[in-house]
Amino acid sequence: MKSILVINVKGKNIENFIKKLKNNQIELYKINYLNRKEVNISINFYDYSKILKIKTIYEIKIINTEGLIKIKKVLKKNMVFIFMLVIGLITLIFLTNIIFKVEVIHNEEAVRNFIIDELKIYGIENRHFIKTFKQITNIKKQILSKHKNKIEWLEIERKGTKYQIRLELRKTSTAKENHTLYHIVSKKDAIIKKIEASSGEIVKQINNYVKTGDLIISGNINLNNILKGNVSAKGNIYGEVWYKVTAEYPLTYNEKRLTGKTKTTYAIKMLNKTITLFDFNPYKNKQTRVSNIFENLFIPIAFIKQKEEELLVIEEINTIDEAKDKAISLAYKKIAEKLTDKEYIINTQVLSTSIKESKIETIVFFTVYENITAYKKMEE
Amino acid sequence: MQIVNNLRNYLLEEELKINVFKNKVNIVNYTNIDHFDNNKVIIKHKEGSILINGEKLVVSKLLIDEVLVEGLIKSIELR
Repeated sequence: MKSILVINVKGKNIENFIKKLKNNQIELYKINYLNRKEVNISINFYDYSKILKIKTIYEIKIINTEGLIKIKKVLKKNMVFIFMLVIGLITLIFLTNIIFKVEVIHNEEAVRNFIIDELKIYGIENRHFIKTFKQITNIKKQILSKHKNKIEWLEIERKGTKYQIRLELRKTSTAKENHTLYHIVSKKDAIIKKIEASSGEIVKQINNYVKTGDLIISGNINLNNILKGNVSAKGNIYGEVWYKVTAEYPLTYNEKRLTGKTKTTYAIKMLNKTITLFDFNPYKNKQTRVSNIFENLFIPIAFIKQKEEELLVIEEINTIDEAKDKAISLAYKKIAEKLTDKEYIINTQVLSTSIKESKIETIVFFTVYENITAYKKMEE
Repeated sequence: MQIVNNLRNYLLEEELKINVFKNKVNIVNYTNIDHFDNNKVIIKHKEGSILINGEKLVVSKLLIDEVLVEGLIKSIELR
């Protein structure tokens, strides 16, 4: 960009002065005749000193500036304002990226404090930088997996410079802390494997078969078949229970999934061929959204901007045995998801396998060691 | 050799070029302005000169190799 000065020249015989300028190799970008004795001329900034040397009787005055010199002038004039604006913007960006409050929405103070302490471990606390969406998702996942017996659901929402946390605690089937008395009965048909009783009278033994609703720990305390008193039965019963799970798995399996990785690339497109520029680690499979930056109407060439999203392509062709194994592990997973730390699968047995519409259908029988404790209100 | 000359002309634009617009004449690659007043402008180039006749003629742009003449142009003569 050139620096242009607009000068006003006054004097007799302006044509002679213009010829003089021409002879001195001075370029005149625009000549605007105001009258016979006055003219406005646009010249290069660096030629101004030359003109002053050769001006003789002519009156010369700068009336305007254009181009780079004008930008410099405006910047210089508004330097304090621009500096303050930049400082202000930096401060604003900095402050909007800081957390000023972490608010947990829950009735119990203990829960609120517990979550605040937990979030501190992951760097979510007052006067800390905000986290990206990906980081928040990871933190949520980690907290939920760490306290899977305690927290059912957790949501971390950013509201300006505040994080608002909502959560739902997991409700466990423990006896209520009140004055109602309970018996402990069996939740399912099972063979009793372990009885942990802290209150009440055990009426069944280990390896006894019980049906749903059968009394295991009674709240009635008897001595020599005479009722001596009532307590609320407390304890945990573990038993062997059985499940029949049907699982299906296709012989051919196709899945396209976004990995979450994205990048922007630039490319030259000629006819149907696209040459990507400076992409040193191209994605193997990708989904692309294209926008044209420059396109020639006559020649089939275009400069394009591509937003690429990495795709994970899973293509499986399974043999019958492989599909069967996968169906079994799927069934296994279904059962395992329901179990807590103290529960486990004792045994599995494949009952039948069949092929239905290019899918393998497997019925698996599971023997599971599981908590079968259920509470039943004592009748008056 | 012809190809080289053509290429050189294309890149350096050394040939005389006259663009005529309404009330404007733009001349590129001239060598000198011999004369100019309100009614007549004479511009020299390598192989001759250009005479512009008209009224209220003014030079409104004057660069090392380019000149723009404005006014009521009546005729342009190539000599």
